[in-house]
Amino acid sequence: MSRSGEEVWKNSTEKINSELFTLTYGSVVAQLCSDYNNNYNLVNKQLDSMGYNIGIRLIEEFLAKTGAARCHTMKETAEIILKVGFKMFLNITPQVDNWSLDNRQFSLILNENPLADFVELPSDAKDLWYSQILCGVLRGALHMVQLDVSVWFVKDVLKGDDITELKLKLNKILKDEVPAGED
Amino acid sequence: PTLIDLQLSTIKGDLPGGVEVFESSLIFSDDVTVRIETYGFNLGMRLAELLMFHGAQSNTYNKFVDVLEILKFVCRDVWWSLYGKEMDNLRTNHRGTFVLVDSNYKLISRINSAKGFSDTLTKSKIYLWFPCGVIRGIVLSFGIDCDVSAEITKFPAVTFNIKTTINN
Repeated sequence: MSRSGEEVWKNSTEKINSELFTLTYGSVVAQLCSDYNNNYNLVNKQLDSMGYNIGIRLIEEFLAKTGAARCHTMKETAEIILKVGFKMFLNITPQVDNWSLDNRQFSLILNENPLADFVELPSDAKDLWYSQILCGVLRGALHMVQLDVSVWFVKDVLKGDDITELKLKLNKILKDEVPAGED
Repeated sequence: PTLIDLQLSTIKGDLPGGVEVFESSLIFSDDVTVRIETYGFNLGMRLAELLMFHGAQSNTYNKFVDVLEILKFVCRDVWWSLYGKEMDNLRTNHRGTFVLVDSNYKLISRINSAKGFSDTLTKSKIYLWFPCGVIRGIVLSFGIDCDVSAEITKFPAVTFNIKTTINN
């Protein structure tokens, strides 16, 4: 029996100070920018990779705490990601919109973004997707449940857009594979 | 993009989701430790400002007359906001040196190496640069320079030594 995001967030997650979270993430991004000499494309790539590393571990906690069952359609997957995943880990519930005709691609609209509190980007940082780590997390977590997806940002309020919007596209459903050495 | 079978570094078996990177001797190099300390330092500088701002609204902090008050602020408010608990002990020689003890430091309390206790200790040490940086950042935000070092006294108890240049 799967549990609602609200319930999991209230009863089963350990809370931390959101300022600690936001400021630590800020330090990481700032350090990456200086490491890569403000080559923001490389910073995006690195954040995505870090997110992927988080995502492949995070899915385990997610499944253990929610007891979510296998989703049968992308609509269902989207629903679970938004209402349970984002709720339990970040205490936000993004909106879903812009479904493509084949139901394989949709937009996630973040009305609030805890990663970006207190953040102002310098004017030369046009190529930086500050919250790119979210893309990696989603990609990593979904990869572990046999969904090969692409996730990318299209709009960010930090860059002066009216909303923060991510796109998620299903590339293919991977086959269940037995790990090497186990029959 | 990164995938599950992408080798992340030259370390053998360092794949996404693995912990092989902790086996690298490079992890104890200055390049890594300074970086971890800087993460903490940046957090400390900004966190001090935020806590003061919240405190000013509720009129909690209005007197920081000496460096001991600042260290008390670290023990109570900073530690509370980071780890949901206060430091367990604060000692000073009244000449600018302070010793803070957290008898169950959260960042390392769940680390447990399969290779035994001494390996757990070695691998925990690297984590301590982060809180050292936090403390240095907080204290510096009040305009006082200090050196912070940490040692694991009785796992997971951590002792922080803070040497300031102030002599009072």
